[in-house]
Amino acid sequence: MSLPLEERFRRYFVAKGLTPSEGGDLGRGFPVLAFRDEGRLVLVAIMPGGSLGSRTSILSAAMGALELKRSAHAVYVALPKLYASMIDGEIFEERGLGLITFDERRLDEVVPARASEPEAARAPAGRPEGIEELEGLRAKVSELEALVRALDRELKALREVPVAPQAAQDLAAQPLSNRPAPPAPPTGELPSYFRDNPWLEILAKRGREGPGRYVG
Amino acid sequence: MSASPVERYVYGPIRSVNLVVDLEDPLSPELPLREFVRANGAPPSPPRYRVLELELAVCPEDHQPVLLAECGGCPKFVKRSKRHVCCRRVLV
Repeated sequence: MSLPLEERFRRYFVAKGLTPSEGGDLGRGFPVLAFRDEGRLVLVAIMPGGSLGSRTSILSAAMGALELKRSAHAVYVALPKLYASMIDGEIFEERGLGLITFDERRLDEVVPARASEPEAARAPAGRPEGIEELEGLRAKVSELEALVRALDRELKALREVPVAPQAAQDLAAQPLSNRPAPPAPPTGELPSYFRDNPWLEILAKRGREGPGRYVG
Repeated sequence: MSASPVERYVYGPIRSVNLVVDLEDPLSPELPLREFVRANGAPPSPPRYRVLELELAVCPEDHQPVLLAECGGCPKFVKRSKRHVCCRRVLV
């Protein structure tokens, strides 16, 4: 008498030292068995032969099993041998999925599953990307704000202190036309009859006239 | 105490053949894609033609060509990987 498929897988993994566990998900269109191995969760997604019709549906089911890796340490995909002959085992190896083929007589683990930490366990340990950079930027902004405040205080203090006497400030504020004229040069050496005498200008020009005007 | 059988694995290459099938003329010969293009001067176009991809291997037991889909029904088939088929061979 042949055992049901799930019972065969249960016995296979128990023989390997794993203990059956709760947590299998039956809502994906294929049965998923859960096992524990020293605290590590191992899931086995079984693709029954009757539910798969094409290579595309097999790939789709395999990718669905890949989602299980987010919540388990190791995931196996169990395929009937007929469908295992259509899919290259390298696809499973590259993605860390294990592959088990089965027929009426035996189960074969042809690709071992690669153990990895589930995402739920990784999330608290590893901080989301960009958080450290954001905190660094916040620290720099705080430093810059403190620097700006200090500079503002110094600028106000400099404005309050006078830099020159009040007279110099007033002089600098006046336009040039309003400023007092400088004193005139002294003219007291000449006699009084030279003052406002038109002949002085005539005599001064005679000394600069050329010699050609004289006939000789 | 009985001795357990000793197994080893043998690998054989997988060959793919693209075969063109005429869906309108059942008497038309099925040609490999390259021969079809050489004979007709153009690649096959739907809906009249369909290209089938046949995957073949040589069985390590009887050295006969087999379809890969046939390997799935063989108890000695293990897996296919990297364009090779892996089969079990019992020595003892």
